[in-house]
Amino acid sequence: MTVLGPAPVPARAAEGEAPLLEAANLTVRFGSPAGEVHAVEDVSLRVAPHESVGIVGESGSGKTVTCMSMTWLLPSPPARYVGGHIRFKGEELRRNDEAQMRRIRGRGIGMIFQNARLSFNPAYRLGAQIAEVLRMHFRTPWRAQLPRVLETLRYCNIADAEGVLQRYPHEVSGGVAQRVSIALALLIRPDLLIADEPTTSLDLLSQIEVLGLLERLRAETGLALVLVSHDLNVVRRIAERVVIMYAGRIVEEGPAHEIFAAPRHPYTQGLLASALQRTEGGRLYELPGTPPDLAALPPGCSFRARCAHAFAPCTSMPPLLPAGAGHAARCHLLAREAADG
Amino acid sequence: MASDALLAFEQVSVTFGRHGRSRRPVTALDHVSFAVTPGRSLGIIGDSGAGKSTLCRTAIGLVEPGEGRVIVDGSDLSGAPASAWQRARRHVALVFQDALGSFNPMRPVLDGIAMPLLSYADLGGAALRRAVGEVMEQVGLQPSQMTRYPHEFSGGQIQRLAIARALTTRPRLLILDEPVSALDVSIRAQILNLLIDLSRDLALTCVVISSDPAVVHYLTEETLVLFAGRVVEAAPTAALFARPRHPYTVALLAQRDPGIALHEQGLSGARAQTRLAVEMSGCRFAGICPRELPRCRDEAPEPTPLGEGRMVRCHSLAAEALAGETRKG
Amino acid sequence: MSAAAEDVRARPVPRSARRQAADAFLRDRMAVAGLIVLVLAHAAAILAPALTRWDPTIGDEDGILVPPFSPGHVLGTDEQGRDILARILFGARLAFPEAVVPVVAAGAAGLVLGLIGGFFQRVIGEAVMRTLDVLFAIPMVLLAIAIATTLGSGLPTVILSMAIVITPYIARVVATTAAQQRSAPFVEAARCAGFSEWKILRREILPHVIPAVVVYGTTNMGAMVVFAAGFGFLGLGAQPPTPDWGAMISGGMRSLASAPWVSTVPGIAIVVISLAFNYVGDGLRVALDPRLRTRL
Repeated sequence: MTVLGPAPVPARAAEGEAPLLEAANLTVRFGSPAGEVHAVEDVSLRVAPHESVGIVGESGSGKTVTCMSMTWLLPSPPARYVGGHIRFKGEELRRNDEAQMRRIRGRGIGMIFQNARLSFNPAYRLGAQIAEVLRMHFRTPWRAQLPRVLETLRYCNIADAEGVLQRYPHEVSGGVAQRVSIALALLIRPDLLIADEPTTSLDLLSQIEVLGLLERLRAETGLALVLVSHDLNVVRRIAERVVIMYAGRIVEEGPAHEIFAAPRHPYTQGLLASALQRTEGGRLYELPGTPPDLAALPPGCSFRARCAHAFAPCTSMPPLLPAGAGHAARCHLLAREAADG
Repeated sequence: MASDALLAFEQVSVTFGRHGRSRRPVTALDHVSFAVTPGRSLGIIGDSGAGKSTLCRTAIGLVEPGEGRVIVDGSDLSGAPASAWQRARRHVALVFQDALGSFNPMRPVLDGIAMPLLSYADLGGAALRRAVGEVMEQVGLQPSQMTRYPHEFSGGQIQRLAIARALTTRPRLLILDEPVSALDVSIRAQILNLLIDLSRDLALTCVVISSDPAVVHYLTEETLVLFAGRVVEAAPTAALFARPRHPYTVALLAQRDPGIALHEQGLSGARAQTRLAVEMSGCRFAGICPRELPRCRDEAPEPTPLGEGRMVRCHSLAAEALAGETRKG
Repeated sequence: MSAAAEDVRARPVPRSARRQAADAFLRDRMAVAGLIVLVLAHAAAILAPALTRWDPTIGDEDGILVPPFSPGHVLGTDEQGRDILARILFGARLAFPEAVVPVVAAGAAGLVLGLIGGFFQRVIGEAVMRTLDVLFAIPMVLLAIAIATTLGSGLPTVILSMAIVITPYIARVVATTAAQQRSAPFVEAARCAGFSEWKILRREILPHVIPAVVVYGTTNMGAMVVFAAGFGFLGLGAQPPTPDWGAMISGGMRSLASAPWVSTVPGIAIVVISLAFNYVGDGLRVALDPRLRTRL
């Protein structure tokens, strides 16, 4: 496997290793006629080298805003960055430093999005767009790049690599476009790939292909990955560590196998039970109610209104409480359990 | 074919002419047959472009089949006049995939829900409101919300409203086109439970069309797997999910099982355009299939029974079954 | 189930659609201001004889080109000594019909043509749309002038030619809106529910088309004021000495350097009235669309 250069270090980040990407206390809000929308509140996230982190949440949970903010991609206004720092390989990413961000985006942090076809310019052939990006990053002639481009496209399961380069974005299927965008991200050799709902808008077979590709990338290269998805099955396949978001906050994070086997936050428990089709007496487990309005968040725990375990302390926002090694949940129940011994 | 079927397709084909850039006619449905009997809900698993929507629209008479027969409540309605369909739709209701879009944004939801009542029952004013309020309560909404506009409802509520509209004529069969695909995970379970409750309480039989196998697994007794307009596998739901046979079904279900590595599935990424064009011969899954035989590209596989009410269209599986029988014999 | 029933966003008792639309319109300050201007101007036009003691057609030979704010002539007089305020007020009696009548007439014609072309889309619809395309190819002003010169000058001519000229535009708005909606899922749902095409047109399509026409038409009334002034300026409108804003501007051209107010005052009147129509149109756009008018 030569696509990503020399053989990679096997995955698995050591505890305490310097993180590749670190977001601290990120808070992002949006103005709206109904009041200020608290899209992301006090989110801190660490991604170690070669680690894959899955961010799970429903619509409005803040998962996409969080990952867009990793490279300060949200236009401001309307987004208002209220607070937070982002460090990449120890370097502070300054929000208004366009030169720095151009260097980091792509080369340091690659990104792929839900609708890959829209992330290409419809007026140019795919080949021309790949060439343009590579010229910007490497300053080597296209002819010299071409073999590597074709190899990477083939690695991404695109058999007719030469043909695809001659096509316009609308001439390929969504699945092919998504694989081309992954190939393009890989060509720039990023340290970290952020994938925002990479399979959501694809047909079933393309989902399988793209997921399989991401799986293979992880297995063979150990490329660090942040995967944002509402689909627990997707996250369960790819992520080693899982972050669950609800109403703009991280409510639980921990190793994937622990989260899926023994979730601690009532929201995670409900989400898993309803998503994985666990039934009780012929009916699915269901979380009652709907997520709160982000423009008018009630005080205290945002999940309180839907929670079967809510008790007096829930009128105040709980902190993220430890629930095992590298595992934490934002729930007062944990404090009570700890107190009960 | 069961004579008590609420809805039956017999060898139904639908072809659309001059489709897309290639301007070649494509087959949206290719000799599709099935029968839905009371109490045995049917699930149809299919991808975008598999012909799911065409199937829905054919089943309620919005699309006329090019070939074959569509039988609703025992009467053959293929080529029947609009008035016959009109009578049939009283018992067969469709819940549209785009629930929000199926309500006129310029009119209160009351008007949208009341549409079937205006045609099928001569109700007016207070009686109409009462009837609409009743179905809204059935789907867990407050009747007082009926004067609101569609955009004032959340995704889950709109889906409930769409179901409410389908219930107004007290149908026996409900066709649900991707009932939960637009919804968040936690809302999805609420709607699925609602459908379970309704079909139990109102003795409804459902046809559930979904690209999410889990939805079909949960709601139905019988399952069809549709690929590029053809039924590639049909079996009782429990049997199909316990042991998928057709390579396409196998691939779809593998995605839901994190124990199986997808890139080792042997599906060919060299997938050209799905073989939809009419003149293409052979199996539509050829070129993608991990168990492809030389004849798959030229010869369309015929439906082969595999026992336990299961049918597949696959040369490889048919050959395997034949070999098994000869060994036994 | 009960959970969803509880999830009623706390809202006051729903108000009637008409009330909601009125509230939304009243929230738009510019639209309200525009409406007030139009109402006042219209009232002034009706009450013109009571508001001024001057005859707009008879000049005062002793008071030629009197500047504004002079005693007796608040807005001054023109080169024939006619009081400009009186001419503006009486001119408004022409300006409103010139703005409103062609748009209403074209709105009715455009609605019928547009629905034939956009909703029914059969051979005849196709024919209607292609004919409109041909009309688009001819410059609007030239077409209007051609019609006006053929029929001779005067107010009815101005109104008729403007109506003919804007009909294709309104028809196109109608056709586009109708064509967009005719394949919408809610139309399909209506068809499923057994509605006839006429019923679909009336219940499902018209609620989209009518607001579009009203908004487009109102905005166009502003343009019509300017357009009619153009006719007056070219001498194709109402004939002298009838006061006409466009004719007043062209009459003042000769003395523009020495007495700029003669042209400027009717110019300002045209701008104010046309802006007022535009703001009202914009306010209606929000008020007539339930998605825009409900403030969350």
